[in-house]
Amino acid sequence: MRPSFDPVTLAVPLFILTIVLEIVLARFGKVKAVYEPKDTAMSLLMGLGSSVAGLLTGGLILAATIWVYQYRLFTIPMNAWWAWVAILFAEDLAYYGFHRFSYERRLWWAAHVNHHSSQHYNLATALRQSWTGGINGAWVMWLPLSLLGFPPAMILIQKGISLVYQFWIHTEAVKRMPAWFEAVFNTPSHHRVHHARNPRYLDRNYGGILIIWDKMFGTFQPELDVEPVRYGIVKNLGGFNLLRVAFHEWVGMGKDLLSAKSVREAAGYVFGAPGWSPDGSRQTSDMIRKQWQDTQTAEPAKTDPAAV
Amino acid sequence: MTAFWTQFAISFAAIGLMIALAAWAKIARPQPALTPDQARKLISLDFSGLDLDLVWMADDGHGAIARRGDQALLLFAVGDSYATRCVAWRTLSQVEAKAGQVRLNLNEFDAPKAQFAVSGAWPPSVLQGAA
Repeated sequence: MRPSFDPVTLAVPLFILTIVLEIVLARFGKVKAVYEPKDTAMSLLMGLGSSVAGLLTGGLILAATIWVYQYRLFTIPMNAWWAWVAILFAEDLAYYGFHRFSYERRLWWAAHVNHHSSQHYNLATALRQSWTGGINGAWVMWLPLSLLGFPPAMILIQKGISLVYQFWIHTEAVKRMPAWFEAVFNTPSHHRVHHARNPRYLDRNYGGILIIWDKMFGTFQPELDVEPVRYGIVKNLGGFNLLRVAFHEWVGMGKDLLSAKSVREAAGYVFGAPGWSPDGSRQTSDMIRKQWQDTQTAEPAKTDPAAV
Repeated sequence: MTAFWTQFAISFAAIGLMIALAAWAKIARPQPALTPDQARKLISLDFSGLDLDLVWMADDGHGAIARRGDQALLLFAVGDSYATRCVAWRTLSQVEAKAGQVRLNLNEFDAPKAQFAVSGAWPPSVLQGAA
């Protein structure tokens, strides 16, 4: 379900043109960009599929948003400039919460993981969107905005603006933005860290448009020149198959549920951190980071500037 | 709804063109044959803290296997990148090499199989003595 003014639909030609530009400029050595054709196909087809999936669940999400809006605390006018400033911050905070929970709870990670399963980082990766984001309930993170009194259409438009903003930061072509910009906004550098699988960078930089939330809540990690980013997920995919890209974590979760020996185990597999297991035989991000930190303590790394 | 499907069809065509453009550009990562040190490093990134002295290299240099007791740590090519998995050595050692390839069913939804180029005996003797 989309409002009459949909930033994402309007931006589709821009998405296509800039991807073409990034590929052509990289071909002639003008910018840094790596495109593997099969990986590119997966990313772009995930993006196309997500637009269809959005049709199936958009009505439910909109209905919930409108229902909550009936009980709003305030009535915020859509035509006031300050309301747009307010929703920029409010929506971005909601996005931060959604994004962070998407890494901390497997039920939400199952839908989000495919955005990270490419071992490449380019503008096509930005379009590698979830097909199942509407069915795991992650959208409840935006309902408080309705309760506050932001009109549903305004919320949808701001969500679209945020998605369009986040497109351009999926690139290696831009090394760093000016310092003032890096301090406040999410940038290609900050978001490269977010897509990294290096233990140091895991589960960092959740921000959408603004990076201030990560700085406020202790999840910010700058990109370090001494530690190049390795893209992908902790357990990278072993092939290029669209259905496997879209559903692999759901299938994994289903298999785990079937093997669960108690309600507690079942709950852990669904609501625990990704990588949780009853016997601790698998690794969560926290465990991977702890193991890495222990290694750093035992043997100060050449890559750790703090240790130099 | 008609407008949506029109946009969908145009987007689908555009995707085809972008994939073709990416193939034409040849800007994937270069993938020269790995050296044993490079393979060891890549495996170590995913299986940290393990001793990987003995590593078998695939014949084409695009894969490697390290043995850790009764486990085999696999490094195999996925496009211009690599993935790793851990399987039981017994399973791996029972696979037959055919036409210069070892194809191992991993029975994982996210990584159904791993493939290695082999020219010599299978399983490789360097790993058989590594338990």
